[in-house]
Amino acid sequence: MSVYRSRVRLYADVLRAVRDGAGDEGFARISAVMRKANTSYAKLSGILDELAKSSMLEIVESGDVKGYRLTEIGLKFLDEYERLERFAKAYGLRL
Amino acid sequence: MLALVVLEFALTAALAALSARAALGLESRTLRLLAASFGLLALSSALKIAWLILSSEIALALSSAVMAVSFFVLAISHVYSVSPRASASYMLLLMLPTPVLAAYTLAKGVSLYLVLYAAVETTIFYTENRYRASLLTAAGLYVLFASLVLGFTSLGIADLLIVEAVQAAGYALLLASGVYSYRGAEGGG
Repeated sequence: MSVYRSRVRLYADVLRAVRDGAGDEGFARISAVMRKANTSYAKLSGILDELAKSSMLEIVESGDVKGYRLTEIGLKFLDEYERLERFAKAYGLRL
Repeated sequence: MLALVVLEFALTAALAALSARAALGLESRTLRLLAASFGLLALSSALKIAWLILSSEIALALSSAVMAVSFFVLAISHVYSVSPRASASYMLLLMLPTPVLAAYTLAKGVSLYLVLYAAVETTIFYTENRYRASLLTAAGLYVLFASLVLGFTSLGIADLLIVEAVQAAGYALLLASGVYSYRGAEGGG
């Protein structure tokens, strides 16, 4: 059964995918982010742009390869989100 | 008796403060509903203190009504938070006849079914996610359910003390779950 994802949860999922999808290069490629966040390319591009504009992500270019890396602000946001997510889960709820 | 009710108020107020802090940290309907529910629970306990100090029967009836609303908000947060599934039909339990002896009894009766619904939902959440802290919450809600059942059968002051003690234990479990998860424990397993 598909589960509705709120906007903030979707953003947090993308940030988590960037954090967890980072390879040896130190950044996450868009294909890895797409797979981990379980989001379509069109939707993901818009979200990545918005997150980069709000300084949560930085765009990294290495040769022909483009990727994304979390900034300090993005990391802090994700930490706080995960703390609140745990709190909601403790009461059997989802954010 | 007063000491127990004050303890209940302290526990529910701490629960309300913790959930309000969480709700302020993130724009989330789930967290807002949770904070509203626990805030109302604290208000219900405060009204119970007023009942004991002022011997006001209205305060007692209001306390029970506010508690019923609190559990209703908690139940609603489950309906909104988790995609609708078969368990939502537990809400039909509300249609069962409740003792209509007085507003107090009616509110207690409604609370009984609502808290049971929230407890069952939380248990299902635990079985799906294996998140230990939610088991603590489910245990707290079952203890609260037990206190409400005991409330219907209590006759004397000794029984009332037991009811309040069981209720305080339920609140303590709910608070422990929140603190455990908020302090960074993963809670999985």
